[in-house]
Amino acid sequence: MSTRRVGLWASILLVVVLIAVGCQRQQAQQRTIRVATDATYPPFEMLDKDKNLVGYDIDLINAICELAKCKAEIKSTAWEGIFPALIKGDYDAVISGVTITAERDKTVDFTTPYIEVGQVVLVRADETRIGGVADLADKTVAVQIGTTNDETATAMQKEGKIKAVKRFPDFAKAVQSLLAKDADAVIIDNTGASGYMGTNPGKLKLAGEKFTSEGLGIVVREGDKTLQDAFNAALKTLKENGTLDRLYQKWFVEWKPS
Amino acid sequence: MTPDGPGRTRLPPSALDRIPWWALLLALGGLLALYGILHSPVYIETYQFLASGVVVTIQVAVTAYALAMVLGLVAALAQLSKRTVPYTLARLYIEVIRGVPLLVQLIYIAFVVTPALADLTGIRWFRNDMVRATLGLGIGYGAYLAEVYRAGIEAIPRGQTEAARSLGMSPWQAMRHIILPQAIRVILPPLGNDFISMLKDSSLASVISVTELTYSGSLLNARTFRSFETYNMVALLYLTMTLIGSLGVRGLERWASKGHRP
Repeated sequence: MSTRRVGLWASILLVVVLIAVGCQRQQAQQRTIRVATDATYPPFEMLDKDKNLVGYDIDLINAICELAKCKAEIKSTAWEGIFPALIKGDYDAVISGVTITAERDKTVDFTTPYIEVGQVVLVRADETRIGGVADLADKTVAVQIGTTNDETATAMQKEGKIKAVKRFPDFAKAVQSLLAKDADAVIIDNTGASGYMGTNPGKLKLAGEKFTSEGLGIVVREGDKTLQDAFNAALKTLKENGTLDRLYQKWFVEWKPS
Repeated sequence: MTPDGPGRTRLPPSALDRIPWWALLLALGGLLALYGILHSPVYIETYQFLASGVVVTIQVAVTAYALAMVLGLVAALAQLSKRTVPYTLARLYIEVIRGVPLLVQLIYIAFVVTPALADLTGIRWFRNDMVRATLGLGIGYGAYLAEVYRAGIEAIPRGQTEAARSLGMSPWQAMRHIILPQAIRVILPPLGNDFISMLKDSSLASVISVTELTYSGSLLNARTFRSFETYNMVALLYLTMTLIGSLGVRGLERWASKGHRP
């Protein structure tokens, strides 16, 4: 084979490889990520007056997609259907203030935590009997069903550290029952608690400090390494360049419910 | 002494007699609520947010119920059939579907059955959220309606079929011309009842991202925390839909019993 032949073949190969790489790039740029969220959990996700999805999680996934060159197509769906839909491929990711737990990690994959939250005990402002999580042995606690707060309360009840647990479809109703004195306390994440204290000024307070620390992560299908790695890389950049702090400031300090 | 005896004049029956007192109370309450709502910017805003949910609820409920009525009738007739295969299939459908909670069925149908159908047939239509909600709720309600139809058909005395058959009608002709027209009168009230249930159960469609009225309410409540205004409006809107539905069913009942002597 002459050197010219080799040169020809090499250049053809080079062109093919370049085209292939170029196509892949192109594909990566155009990839649409279908994202599910349950927009009933401000300030993480909610609908504004014009029914646009807004919130910390929404800003975050859009910032991630800007870095990872994808397009996020976000849809709101009720919590009960969100994980079956992810597992069965209706969506590629769930960002909905989801707490990372070992149990959940067995069926889905999580990114690294993008925010740390802790559980707190929320009580009425005039409460004097409850000073912290240790004072609930003879008290009724309200939670949202199926949340990590529900898990905590259920475990504590088994150990005799809580008298009764009332479970509601969302935290708004749990807080309502607290204000109506049907429950003595609500176990909730500190982020959610600050929202409810903001909307019910002077009526609620925290008993004690955060008693747990948990990370919230973006959920992808079990084994979807591509997406998990892309999200993790983007999250690392966003943490380093201060975007995460800026979003925290925007949604957990400055934002007030309308 | 008869009420129509001498000295007593019976008032001619007027349309007013037929309006129940509670309907008047409800109408009055509704008007008061409407007055309050039209004068409150909060309620107007709430209504504007929820209005699209009402449309979705009606769409889901009406299409799913239409499907359920067809499925129910087929299952009821199959169940009354003397052949083993249709009978067994109908019983299986009714017993399995009735025994599984509607939410669970909806999740199976939306996330297992319809995606499989879409892959098998290549019809993308099965991936549409509204289609999946309609199929899930329709199949679920079909099982209940099958039993309603069966009860109605069995309420018609056996002699009617025998008379029709002896006049030379085929079993199908006897069913279509003699039995079903009479059974409708028996079936309509429970059918109306189940339609009203369907209007409310359509809220389960929210698990497959169909934003109907109840989920619209949750979404609004989550942002504004105005729980009572939101749920008052949700209740009022459902009540309006179910009352209009009831009136419609009443009208149908009157139409179906025309010429019938009890």
